[in-house]
Amino acid sequence: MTSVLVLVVLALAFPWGGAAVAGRLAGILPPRQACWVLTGATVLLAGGTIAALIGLFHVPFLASLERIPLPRVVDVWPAALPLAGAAGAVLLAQSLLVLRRWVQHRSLLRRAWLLAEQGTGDGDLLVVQGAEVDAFALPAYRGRRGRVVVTSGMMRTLRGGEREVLLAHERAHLSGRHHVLSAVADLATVVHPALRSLRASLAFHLERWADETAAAVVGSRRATAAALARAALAGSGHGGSRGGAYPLLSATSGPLPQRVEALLGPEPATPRGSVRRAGAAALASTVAALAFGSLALAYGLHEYVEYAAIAVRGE
Amino acid sequence: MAKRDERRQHGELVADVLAVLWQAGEPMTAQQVNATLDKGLARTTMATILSRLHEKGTLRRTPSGRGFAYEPVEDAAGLVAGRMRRELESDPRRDLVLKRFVSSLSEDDGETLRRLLREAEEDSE
Repeated sequence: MTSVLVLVVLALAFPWGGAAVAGRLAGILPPRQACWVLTGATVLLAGGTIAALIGLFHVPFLASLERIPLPRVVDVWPAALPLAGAAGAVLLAQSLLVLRRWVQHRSLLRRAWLLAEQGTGDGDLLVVQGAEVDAFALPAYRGRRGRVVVTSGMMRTLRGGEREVLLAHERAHLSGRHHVLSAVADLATVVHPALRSLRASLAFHLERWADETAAAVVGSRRATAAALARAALAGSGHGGSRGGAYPLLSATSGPLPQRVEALLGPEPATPRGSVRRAGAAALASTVAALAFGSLALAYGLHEYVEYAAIAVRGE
Repeated sequence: MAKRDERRQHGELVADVLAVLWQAGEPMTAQQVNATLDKGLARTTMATILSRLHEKGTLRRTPSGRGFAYEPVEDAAGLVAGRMRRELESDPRRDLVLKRFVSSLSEDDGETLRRLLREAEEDSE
């Protein structure tokens, strides 16, 4: 059974490798594809982890289904019960944490709606009065359609066409349901700590996606870059600069300068040339292989127990 | 689906009109809003949108020339932006659920951004 255990430990370690590879892959893709790769990898790796845990958890149950008494199971594999117990405890804790985090998301959404509805507006816009420079996409909630919430302070900070950039950026978040992708990635971090790095890069690439969409709507990547930079500089003067909840993606500069720099650079495109395309494909298949490896392992564990059961009964 | 799309487009148009007025910070006539928005709308369409927003109480208007000049209704009692920011800022899930236009900056970020902004503006002018 030790060899099986080694495989299980490996399967639980897979997400570290998978997350690193998926992060590399996202770096060479245009933002939209990057977001789907990151979300997909998060779901697959979290699914693989859960499968491996369930595989461990179900060994004693499977044995009893095969009509092998528990004492006999302990005889054959002494670690079976403690391991199954540990896996079960982890699964239970994960489900409770996922539930709690889900409730936190909904409560934040409810509070945000309560506050934002004190603003005025029409269509998909809500203007909240005050000098603070802030704007965000408020996702749909209980039959209310998603809105773009902008403070009057932000409105007056922007120049000319920058208003369009802001609205287009937030509308891209709303129509792309970016908060759902974020929420999925956030819930997955409960399942495996390695997925935190994916949540961080997803947050960044979702902003890049909305930036590029906004640039396409207003027809200028430079104007979009300028709008971002001006809004950020105006906003940072009003306090609350504790580094923000945005994780730093590089040691030298935070996410905002990177977003602005990306807009000033060339338009993102899917990797061209056979070498780069092969590289992307290799990275993608590595992530998939790691995730499906965990699934296959859980299934293999199931088969192994059935097989061992037959051997035990046949003694 | 087509109907829903139409409604969404109308919603965005009304929102754009409101945004123009909020950004201007001074009363504007239908013609001025139309010129700023620059979407090639008919004058009557703009006049209808504005008068509807006025009826709803979102805009207030003053006579100007042959028509009206509109501006957003602001009242000191409605200053909620600060409270909103304070209450939501402390929530660790904020940036996951509410996608912000810009996040807060570190000291170095400010420097870099000022440089990039100059770069962006130099070339576009």
